[in-house]
Amino acid sequence: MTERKEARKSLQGLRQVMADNILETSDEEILAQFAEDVGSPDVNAAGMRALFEKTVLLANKGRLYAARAGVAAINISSAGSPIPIAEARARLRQVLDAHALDKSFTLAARKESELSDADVLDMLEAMRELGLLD
Amino acid sequence: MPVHNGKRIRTRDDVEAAVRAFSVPDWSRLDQLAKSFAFRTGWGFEDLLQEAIMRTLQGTRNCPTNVDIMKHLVDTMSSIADGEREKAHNQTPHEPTAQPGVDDAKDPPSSEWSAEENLVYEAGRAEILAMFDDDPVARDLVEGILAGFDTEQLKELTGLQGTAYNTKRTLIRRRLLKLSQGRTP
Repeated sequence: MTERKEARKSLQGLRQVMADNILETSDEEILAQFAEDVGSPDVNAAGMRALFEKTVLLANKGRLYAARAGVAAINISSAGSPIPIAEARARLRQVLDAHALDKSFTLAARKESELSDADVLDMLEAMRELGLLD
Repeated sequence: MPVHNGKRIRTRDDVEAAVRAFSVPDWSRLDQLAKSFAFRTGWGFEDLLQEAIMRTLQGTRNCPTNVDIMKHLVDTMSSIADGEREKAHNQTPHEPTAQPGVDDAKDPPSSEWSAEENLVYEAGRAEILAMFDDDPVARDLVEGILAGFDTEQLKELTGLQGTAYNTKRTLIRRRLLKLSQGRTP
């Protein structure tokens, strides 16, 4: 029977060989292979660039949320949460589940259980502003 | 330049500028790399790439100034993908593989690896090798890679050198990527 570590290492080795080969392949060859195996490299590049710009926007929003969360955390510690945190988490989960297929929610944002209480409250507030919540 | 753990790291603006400077061939490479790392993680390749970029922009995965941004994204995707496979493993209920009465205290790693997971691994390995049934040299090369051989050992095993060796690696990579996308090679 194959040991787990051994199996994991062998598959990692195969992926690494593939990655090295992709990185070492010349521009001309990678374009020709991509066109043959996948489709237009130009269309792909446009799609990937759009994905990148969307990620930059999401990261900017994240920075904004983090700044707001700092304020929210201060407010929570001084005045207490406006709604019980368990209720806030349940409401957030509902919204995230309702938008499970929405690509504009990053994977990080879809994991409510990994968010701090302040992040949960701040995300609910941001969703309210975006019209996703009453 | 900011410093993290004694290393000079790229600023967020620097990361953005470096990615925006990617050429069409670079984006083709990134697409192929994301697909190869996302294979059997349960993640879409775009999600994996987006997560790697997000972590870099947010500074949870810093890119040192002396590391090429493409290489950094490759390492980050690899690390996230490994973590996801590990999570999937940890969420799988495990049946003990050790036989009753056998002293397994000295060899705990095998107890983490269920019989079911072993079957999945062996089936996956067989599926990969079967893709090269028509090309014994490529099959030997894949078997050697899976066995952990280094480049020199692989060349000795297959008798391939220089361009012939690289061409065979490319053939293997392209077939495996097609497998990862559920397409017939």
